[in-house]
Amino acid sequence: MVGKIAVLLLRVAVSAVFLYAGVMKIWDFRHGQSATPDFTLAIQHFEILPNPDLAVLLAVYLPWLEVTAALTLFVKRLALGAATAVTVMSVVFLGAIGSAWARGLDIRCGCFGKDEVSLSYPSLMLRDALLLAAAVVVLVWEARRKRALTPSPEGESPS
Amino acid sequence: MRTIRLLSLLALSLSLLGARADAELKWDHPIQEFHRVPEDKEIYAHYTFKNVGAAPVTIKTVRSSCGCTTAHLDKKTFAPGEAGEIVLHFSFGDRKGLYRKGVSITTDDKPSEPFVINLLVDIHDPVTMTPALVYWKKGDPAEAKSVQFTVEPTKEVHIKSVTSSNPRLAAKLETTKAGEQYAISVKPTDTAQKESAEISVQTDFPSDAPRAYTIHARIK
Amino acid sequence: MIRALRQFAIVLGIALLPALVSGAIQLKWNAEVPPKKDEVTIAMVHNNWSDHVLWVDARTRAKYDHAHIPDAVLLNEDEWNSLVAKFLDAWDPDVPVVVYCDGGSCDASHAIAERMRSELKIEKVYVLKGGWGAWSGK
Repeated sequence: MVGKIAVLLLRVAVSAVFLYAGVMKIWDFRHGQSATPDFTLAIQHFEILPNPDLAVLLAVYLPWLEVTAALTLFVKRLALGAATAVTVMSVVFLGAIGSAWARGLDIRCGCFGKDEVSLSYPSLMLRDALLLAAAVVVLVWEARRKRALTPSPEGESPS
Repeated sequence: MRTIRLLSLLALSLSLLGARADAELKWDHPIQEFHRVPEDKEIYAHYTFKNVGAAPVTIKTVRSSCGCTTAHLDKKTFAPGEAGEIVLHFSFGDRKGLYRKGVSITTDDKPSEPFVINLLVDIHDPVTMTPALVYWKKGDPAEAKSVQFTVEPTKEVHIKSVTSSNPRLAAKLETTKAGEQYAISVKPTDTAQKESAEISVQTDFPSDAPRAYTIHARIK
Repeated sequence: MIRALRQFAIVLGIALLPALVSGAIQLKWNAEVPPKKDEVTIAMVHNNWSDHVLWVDARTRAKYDHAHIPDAVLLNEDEWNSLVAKFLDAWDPDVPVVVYCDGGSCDASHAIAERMRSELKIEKVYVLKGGWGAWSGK
């Protein structure tokens, strides 16, 4: 019973994070304008995509995937797929941040004047690792629920 | 089942540790637009902001889209209620026309969500001279080619002289409408061999430092 | 497993609908990111033109002096007026011009290419996808 509540809390937490993250990447409320150009720039700064134009496509699609996954986490028939989606996204984000960190992406033009610049990569990685952990928990829960509901020769009952 | 329960509680409590007090910078004018002329050579734009959150904010990265725009920041950490500014310096070089320079700023409370401040500058030249290049291939007919010099309606620019650096590529000025429209005709003596010439079109504008425009002529 | 993948695909598909609408609306209202038809890759330069192109370096003089594509001509926005004559001496109307700058997200190469097209009316101008990063990485 406690396990069920814990998973529900995690489901809500993961959903809330992805919903918020997705919406923020779609619309810049503070300035009343689309957030897509800025997100495109952010993606390009990771210098991961083979073609900088792909960043625009990703900037338009990814936030909607986050919103859709966040919402369908509560739709019984799609919750497994949604959990898969948030897990996959968390892994990809973690990989992208790790890659940027490993390549020590720098500020080329010394724009900060004499000061050096550093990103708090460790905290970014930790935050995404935690998100991934929560997503995996929900995914495993959904997968087991699905399997238990499928009639099997042994006649298992849902736990 | 027990394992899942334990893992869930662990993950949940760890994720709560990552929560932060609400921190944020409010920018007064994140997009600034200026109208300048090439003689101005550079611009300094001040982007002021204030920490309207409950926690201190530290600016982590300031990334410009090019080397022509540099950013200067006196200090990086701002207490709640404290105001600050970033000064952008954009050096025009030989640029003309509309430019949009974005500078991406990240803070410690939102390290993966950069905020972009924009500097828009119209480096304005009332004169349009086109094309700036005329060329012939060896053996082409040695016919004159015309360059149009057009001044935008509200201004007046007069051409004082037209001088070619190479006598084998001669330039002639035709006044369509003084102060508004001119045509410069460039004619090679022949196109038997490779040639190059820079044709200087001297004007009277602006009066304190009149500009010279260049027509490039080549026989390839 | 299959059920997971099927549902995953459905979620991906559902997300595609608002994304397409959003993308279409934004393209209509904001032509800030036009499709870049003038980009070429190093492979294309090799296959289409047998590497016979005029390379133009649109980066800063400091970066050019440090290292540049062999036989590349420097022409950047800062020094256009003083460098353009030298570029035109090297230019041949039958040889494609390929402009490069730092890498993935710099726009100097496009700015220089655009200035060549609009001011000099040179047509065979292309931009190297990936810029110096693509060349030095190969």
